[in-house]
Amino acid sequence: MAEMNTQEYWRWPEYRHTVLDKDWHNSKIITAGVDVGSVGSKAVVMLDGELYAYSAMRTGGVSEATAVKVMNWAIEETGLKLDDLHYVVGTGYGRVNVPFAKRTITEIACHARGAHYIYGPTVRTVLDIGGQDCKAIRCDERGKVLSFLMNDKCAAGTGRGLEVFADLVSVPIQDLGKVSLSVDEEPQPVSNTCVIFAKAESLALLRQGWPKERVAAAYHAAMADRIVDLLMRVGVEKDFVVTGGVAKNAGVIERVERLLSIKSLKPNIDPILAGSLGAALFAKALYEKQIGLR
Amino acid sequence: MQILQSFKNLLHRKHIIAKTWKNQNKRPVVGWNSTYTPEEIISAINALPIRILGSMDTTTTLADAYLPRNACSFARSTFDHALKGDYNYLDGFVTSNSCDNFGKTYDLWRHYTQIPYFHFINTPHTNTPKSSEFLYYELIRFKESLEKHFKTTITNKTLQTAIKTYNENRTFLKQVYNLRRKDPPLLSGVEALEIVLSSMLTTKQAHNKLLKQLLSEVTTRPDPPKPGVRLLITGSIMDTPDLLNITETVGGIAVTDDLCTGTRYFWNLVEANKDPLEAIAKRYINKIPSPFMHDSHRERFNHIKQLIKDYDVEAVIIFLLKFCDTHMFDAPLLTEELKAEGIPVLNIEYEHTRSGIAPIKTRIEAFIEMVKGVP
Repeated sequence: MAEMNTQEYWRWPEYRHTVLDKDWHNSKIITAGVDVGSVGSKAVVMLDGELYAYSAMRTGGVSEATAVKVMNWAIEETGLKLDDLHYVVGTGYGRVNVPFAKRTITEIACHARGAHYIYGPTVRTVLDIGGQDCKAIRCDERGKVLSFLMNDKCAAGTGRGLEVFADLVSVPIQDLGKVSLSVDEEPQPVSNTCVIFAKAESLALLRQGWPKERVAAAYHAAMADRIVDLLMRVGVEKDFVVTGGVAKNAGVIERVERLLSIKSLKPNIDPILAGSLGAALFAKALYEKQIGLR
Repeated sequence: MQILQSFKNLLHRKHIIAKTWKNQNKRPVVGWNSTYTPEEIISAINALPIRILGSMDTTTTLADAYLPRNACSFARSTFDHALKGDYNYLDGFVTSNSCDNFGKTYDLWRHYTQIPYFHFINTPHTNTPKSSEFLYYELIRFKESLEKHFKTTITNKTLQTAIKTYNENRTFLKQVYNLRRKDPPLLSGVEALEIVLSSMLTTKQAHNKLLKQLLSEVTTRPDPPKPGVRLLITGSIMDTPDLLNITETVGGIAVTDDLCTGTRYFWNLVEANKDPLEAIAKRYINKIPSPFMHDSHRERFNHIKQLIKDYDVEAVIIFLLKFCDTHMFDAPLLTEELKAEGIPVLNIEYEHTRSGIAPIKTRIEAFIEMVKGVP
């Protein structure tokens, strides 16, 4: 039997990386953060509070297994073993499913803390756009959460919605944002209350003969509307930053910036790691407390 | 503590307990759903008034076939129980036009259930001298309707007896709430909710006995709740402990509330009066208002702020049932007012089912972390 080899447009690349050319044997405190999200799982290892290694992959059906897998992948080329990690904090929807974590902290606190690490102490508003939800977080100069809002159950305006859309228009998910920005004139946004309705509406537009760029623009505009609604309710103060996987989609971010008349800071570290970075930083503080350094 | 199990039992075995009471006493059981139902009058005919409660662990397939999508899911849940036959043992059903969902599902209950007696109390939506008078006449109509259907007479004496028992229960419940002022409180939010809910599911005489025992034993309880972030809970009807259970497993502890299944149910007494019906009318029109009352939020907000002071509250959670419009209109005003006074507020919109429980838990947990601080 012959099988068709279909491209999975929705599939984003999974990756691991060792950042620091350092020997972990010389570091005092080795901590890790594992962020088991609804779509993606991320693991970060820090040496004395500096980013050392990380990995990101899709969350599988069994969160515990994904947590182990993503952590082991992050340390794969470092020579580190799970037992070498002094303290691990779990975060994300699957935070209670990280078997080797000593403690769990919500992704809201972790994203604020991680954004503080990535973008610095001037951050006051963090927008985290994850796989299945979207959070607007206000924080202070230490990365401490002052207030936050989360979207309701629906996944419109999130990464999962983009995956569904990439599949619909047959554009690789990494290129979607750029494609959506290639229109001369911005069309009316599609329905922004439900992924399935938005997809149905986009499909109708394609059938009407709209080019996929224009439909992509309408879809991204709807996501931006929904995200801005959330941000307006929590109130946006500079500096404004975006974390989570969708931070890499310029089509969403540029539209959000346009609607808010505010630019977001650009990251030097992959913003999908913000949650796991925050968790690893909390792990360091907790370990210091445990051994009496704090 | 054994006595706490008694309250829990009353709640979790409510149908069996009501049916047993009915068989043993050969007297009617009358369901009600709005805290603007004067139970005293029902109790005066030696009937058992019980509050209609829903559940969060069942789907509402039957009710969904009849109700509009924007009906609140509490009304949906209770109507579903009625359609399933869980409330078939009721001899009567009484409601008032407190919120639209109660007012309108009354008609559906009346049409689709076999309950033999129905009565609708027209509760005024403003607190003016004339509305108190209007409610008084509504209560006379209610009394006469009960007398006619259940072939009995309600005398001033039986009413005064009922008022006394009810006031006693309210006073005891206030004393129970006082135990929560301590840090850590002597009762968890879940336990306190079970105590108040159970008071609506048995005779007040029986409940008063249990409360007396609780009050004498609880001060030396060997297993007090763990300390946590001290919370005031407000919002829509909370007829199951599910949400407080979540709240108290992530580091919060509910120490008081502004709920119609909490302080708003028992806070106000019926004052002494020669005419008991007039006294009852005044109590219900002057009580801490539910948000369906117009031009009334000032009074309710003041009640909340007083509780925050008295119970040493650190933060407030507003639990809003999906499509509970009266509370939803008040929520932004309350949030703004409390935040201006430096009190952190979390708004949670939820369905009266298990759906969305995981994100709700994350929000509450993140809120507790925010108030308490993480390392």
